[in-house]
Amino acid sequence: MMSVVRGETHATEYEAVIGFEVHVELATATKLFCSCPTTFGAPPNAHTCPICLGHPGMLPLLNERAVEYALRATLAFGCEIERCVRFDRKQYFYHDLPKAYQISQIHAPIGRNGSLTIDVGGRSKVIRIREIHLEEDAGKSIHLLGDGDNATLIDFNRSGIPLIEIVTEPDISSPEEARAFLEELRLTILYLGISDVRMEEGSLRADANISVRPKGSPVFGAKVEVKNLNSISGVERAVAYEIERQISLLRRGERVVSETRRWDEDLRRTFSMRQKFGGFDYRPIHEPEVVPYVLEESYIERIRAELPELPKERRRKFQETYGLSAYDAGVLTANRELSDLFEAGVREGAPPKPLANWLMSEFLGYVNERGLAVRDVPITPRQWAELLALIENGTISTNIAKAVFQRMAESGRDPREIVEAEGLVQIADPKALREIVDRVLAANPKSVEDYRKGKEKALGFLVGQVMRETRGKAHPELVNQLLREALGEPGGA
Amino acid sequence: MDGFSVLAWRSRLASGEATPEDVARHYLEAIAARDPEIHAFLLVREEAREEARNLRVEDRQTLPFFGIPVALKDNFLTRGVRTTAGSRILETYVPPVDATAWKHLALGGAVLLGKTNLDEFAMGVSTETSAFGPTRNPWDLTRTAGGSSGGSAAAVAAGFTPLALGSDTGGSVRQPAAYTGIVGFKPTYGLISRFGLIHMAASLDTVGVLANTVADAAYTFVHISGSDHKDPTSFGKLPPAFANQLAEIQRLAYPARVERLHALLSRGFSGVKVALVREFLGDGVSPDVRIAIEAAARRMEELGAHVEVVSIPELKLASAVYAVVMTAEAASYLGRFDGVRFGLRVPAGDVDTLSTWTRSQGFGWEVKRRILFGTYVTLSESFVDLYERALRARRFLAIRLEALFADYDLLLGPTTPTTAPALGAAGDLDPVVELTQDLLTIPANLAGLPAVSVPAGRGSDGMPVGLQIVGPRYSDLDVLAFAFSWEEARPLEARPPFGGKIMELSSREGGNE
Ligand SMILES: [Zn+2]
Repeated sequence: MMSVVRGETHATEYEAVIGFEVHVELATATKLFCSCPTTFGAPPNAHTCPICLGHPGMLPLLNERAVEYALRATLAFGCEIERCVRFDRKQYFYHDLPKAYQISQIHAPIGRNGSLTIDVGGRSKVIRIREIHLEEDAGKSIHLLGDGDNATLIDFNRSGIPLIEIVTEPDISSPEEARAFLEELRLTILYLGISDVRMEEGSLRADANISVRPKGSPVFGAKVEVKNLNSISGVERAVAYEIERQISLLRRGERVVSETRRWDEDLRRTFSMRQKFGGFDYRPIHEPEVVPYVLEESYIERIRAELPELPKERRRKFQETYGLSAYDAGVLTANRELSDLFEAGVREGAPPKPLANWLMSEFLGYVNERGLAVRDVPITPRQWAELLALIENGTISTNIAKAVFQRMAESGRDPREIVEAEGLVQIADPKALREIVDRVLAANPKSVEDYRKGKEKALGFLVGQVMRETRGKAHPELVNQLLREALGEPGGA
Repeated sequence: MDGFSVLAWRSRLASGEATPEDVARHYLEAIAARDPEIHAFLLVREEAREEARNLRVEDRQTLPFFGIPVALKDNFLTRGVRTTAGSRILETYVPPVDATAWKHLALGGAVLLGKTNLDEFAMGVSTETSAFGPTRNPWDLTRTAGGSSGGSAAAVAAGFTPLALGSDTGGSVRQPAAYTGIVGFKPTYGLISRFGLIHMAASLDTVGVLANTVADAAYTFVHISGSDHKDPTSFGKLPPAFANQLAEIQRLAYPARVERLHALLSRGFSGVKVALVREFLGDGVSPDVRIAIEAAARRMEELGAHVEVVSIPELKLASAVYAVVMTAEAASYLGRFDGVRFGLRVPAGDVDTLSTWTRSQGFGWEVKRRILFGTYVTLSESFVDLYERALRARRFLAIRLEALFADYDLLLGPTTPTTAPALGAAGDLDPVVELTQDLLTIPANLAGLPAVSVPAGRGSDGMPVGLQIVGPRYSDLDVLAFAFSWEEARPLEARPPFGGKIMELSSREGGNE
């Protein structure tokens, strides 16, 4: 039986309570209420018009594609759907907020009460999603501080870009879970095709609400909001740091202040931004300029029917149907295009396990080395199936196949065509190989002697020499067998 | 009396009896001669003459507004032409686009004479909150021409233009029309695009027409109404019969469409069921006005209308609901004027101060008062009590009025409780009293109903009295038809004099009478 020192346990065991507010920029071609483009990286204020600059007399024109994207997300996360699409104004003054209000859904978020299941350490956990709502983004301010000569520059390119905000219940309790949640969320959104979810470009922005409390306590601790999280590993580090910071404050008998803190990735710590004095009053009013409309049941059903397979389902399928390991299924599905490619290859007849190996090692290596996307490599699923068939039936060796792959990746040519044109067919004729083996043995008496003395390594050298003579085309196992035959057993003479 | 009506000009211009340049010159001269006293205009466009000259003569039959001069309330955006909304904060604002209502007129061949005075951001009842000074009533220069479309109303009444556009959020077209003895029409909410109208309160704002005759108002209305892809609130689901009538008139070539419009409007009173609203004639309505309206109702009855006195106690809600909804939306809308992107900028060391100083110096007292009120009613502690309850009461009132229209075709009452008050009087009024006066006009805005003010006689002070006719949503042509019949039937002395001096000026052009 374990002995527990009561006082100490009481003081040292804390649990973290974490919730997220995630803003996802929707990948619509135009903004939420005007036809300005949403492409990233344009010169400041290039993508603006009187509507998104808040000129008087302008009226917002709702981008229905954004509503469709938001609806996809609400369906994917199993939310209840608000059938009447309507908006409110969230009012506050800020120089990069052109209308002094943000058009958002305060009273009627498009989705409520959904969830996302994550896997951490082989255990599943359901993270509840409180709501998903649509809103427009604000612009971006840059404050220049000079010697008494301050300036504020504002870029309104982002003003009016459609966002969905996903708000979770405080169901996350560790940095690992925080990471798993954001990774799964990011992947799901990527599969939905509604955002490119690039954290570094701000198309996915996460704010974490973190508090700690004595384990089992029904009361929540003081809540700290951590902003400026711009990578998933940053989120994990920030959450870990903040939990530690709060626990050590409590251990010292100090108080955690409810505030907003900024994560500094370089210094790997959080800094206080501002205290929160109660809730901020947005003085919401109904948006009178955007006409509410009802989502027809048939429309919702169509969007539901068009939902892609989500990563969770696909991972399960990869394991159950294709017999892949959980790890392999995870790697392949972590990239939607890659998993699509895999499935297409299997449909063309490629054996699943070898194809998975090829994609994960050679292919991903090639893509990552060159900084390419999956779609940038011109190898079709049919060509993959063909390449694997050539290996399977012994036409080429695995080594040759690697070279063939490189050529396919560069040219998009068929593997058979490459193999024939370059004479890469494997030499599996024992008579032809025996001649070469004899020649190699004659040329390397030292190695022959070493092998006979029991140095197994010498055999490897001799195999290598044969392969070199045949420019890699010799069937490796056959070469091995022929050499052993010719040399007799090591140490046997 | 139709000598200066849009349709009369239309006929002369189409036949070549008058040229667009003649017409433009006639009005510009009238403005030059008398507007310094009246101050209907904030900006007069001498370019109008040249633009009129440049109209292509071959378009004179087909363009519905060929050579017709028009004045726009200065809260309609006019591309390349300064638009101030009567405020310092927009004193130098030159908009990048045209308001859709104006665009319809411009594409129809209309010529822009200038921009007319208004209460700052349309907030007021007398144009006295305009940052550029008040407009005077052409009938009596010591009196107000009303507001907030006072400049547009005075311009029509003074003979400076045959046609002007205004905006009506709580009566801003009808009340000045009544004070200046002309026709002021506010359509069903959403029927005329509000794109390019600097709002006051988006859920209440409508584009209105000010003209000398009902037929002119109707002619203008049918041409500038319809859905606009730039204004989603203009996509109404129109009753098919009404939509067909509109489309038919819009399609027909001139002069057939004028004849068709006349045929459509000449329905007479026979069989029309009218509710004379008791609350519209209650305390605070002057005896002069009451007498004129009751006389009008009697005359209509003689001519075949069925008039009944009806009580709608719920109208008492109107002022309070309006005060909350209007100020909440107005305060919200005005947040964008922060000195950052357009309009006035008062330089300061940092952006917060810049916005504070710009707003502090750029807005007048009435605007500030409404911003404070609107901010208060939306604060979270008052939110549930005031704003949400106001929205519920608004729906309640709209439903009540709709139910009434099951039994009656139209509602009748005065447009204003008194004839035009003296200038300066409005400033002395308790703001609450000011809002109470709006009881007559506000219900139509809260419920989105069409309403028109037509002259109904004169008070003992010789000033015009306005009769208001309100119909159910999308009964715009019925409301106008009824007003048209009244215009035909009303006693001659009730007709406005079209600003005596101006008559002499215009007679120089010849062929006008
Ligand atoms: Zn834009």
